[in-house]
Amino acid sequence: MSRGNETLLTHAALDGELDAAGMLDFENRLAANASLAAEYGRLKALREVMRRELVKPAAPPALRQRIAAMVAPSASVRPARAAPPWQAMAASAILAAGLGSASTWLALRPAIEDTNLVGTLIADHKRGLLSGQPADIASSDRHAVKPWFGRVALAPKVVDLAPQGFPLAGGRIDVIAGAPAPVLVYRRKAHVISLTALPAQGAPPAGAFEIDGYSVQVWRDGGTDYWAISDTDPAGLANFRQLFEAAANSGPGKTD
Amino acid sequence: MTKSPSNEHFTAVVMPHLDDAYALARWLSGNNADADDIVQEASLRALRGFDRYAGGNARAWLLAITRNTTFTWLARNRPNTLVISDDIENLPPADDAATPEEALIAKADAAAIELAIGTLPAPFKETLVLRDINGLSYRDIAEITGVPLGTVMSRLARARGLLMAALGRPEAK
Repeated sequence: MSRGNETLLTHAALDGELDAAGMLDFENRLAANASLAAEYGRLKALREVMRRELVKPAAPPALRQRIAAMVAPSASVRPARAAPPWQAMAASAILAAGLGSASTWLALRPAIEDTNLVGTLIADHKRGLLSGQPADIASSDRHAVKPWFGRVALAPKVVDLAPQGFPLAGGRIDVIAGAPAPVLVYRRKAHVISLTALPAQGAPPAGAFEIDGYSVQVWRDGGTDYWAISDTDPAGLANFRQLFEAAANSGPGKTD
Repeated sequence: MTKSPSNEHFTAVVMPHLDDAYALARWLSGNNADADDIVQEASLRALRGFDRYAGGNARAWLLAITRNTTFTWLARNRPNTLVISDDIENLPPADDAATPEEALIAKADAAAIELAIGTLPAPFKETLVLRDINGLSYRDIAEITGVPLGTVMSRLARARGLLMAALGRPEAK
């Protein structure tokens, strides 16, 4: 074996790139060759010191938010513009109000303002309706929807409420405050319910209210805050919440 | 021209690997502010080219775009930092008289390692960063950097050889 190849194989052994036979062969040569063993020792020392001293940098939250805003459908019209200045947003708000209603503006607003979580959730709900595709995975089978969320850190409980009049329509992933958030989509007759699961933060939010013609229900279940948004009537959404909570907490067999 | 369904998919595919993209851009550019700009530009490119993403290894796909964006960005904005040599693979190994000492390597601190990585020629540096910071397999690195597996292996050996020489030289301490 040439000296050059032996060097490459030494690195490959360190990196776990050799198969069992290659590793066995390498270990035999390592035992018989002091200078190879010394080189391998130095390589291991280098790897150890790099692991100890170097921190893998994480993308700053502001960058994540800019990219999330860029990806939001409103930004796809002008993808080069990240985080529009406030004046431009105000101008487009006026434009939107002139074209349709203030709610049009709300629907087109990028989901970057953490300060108005409810507004963001309603905007995402509307965006789903406007695009004609409220769910990225369209399925009434909770066993298909649940694993699909495996790609986000927080997997929501997925329950089947079809017998009670709330069939599962699917799921999608929204970006809330720069982080992906799972959304379950249910139907009630002609209405759509967006149920967003967020990591629990601060005081437990709880309650029911109406904003801009939308019913909102929010509750906390363990480490998860659930936000249900729909244009269905408040009583209907309250009923949905009751049924969802009951089904979600009726035992592991019902929720997996 | 609404692209929302594919945008949601894009978020799910790209966002989980943003830290990896940032780490690569940070190490190749040498500073955080540049990495910020580069990753934003790379994400935009990824978004525009998302139609061509055919599934598969999303991390390698995003890192390939980030890597290419980094070099274009550096050539445009930091022309003096990029040392590109066609002959880099053929240079004979540095013939340092002294064999680097394992004990000295083990005692290196972050600043010394960062300096040593910073002075590596770009092809060696990116291979080292993809392997030792991002933790990618040789095969993924070959795909991302567009070179044969054997070249990945020799670049990695050269990069580590240079680092060990820089950190393990007795007079350096």
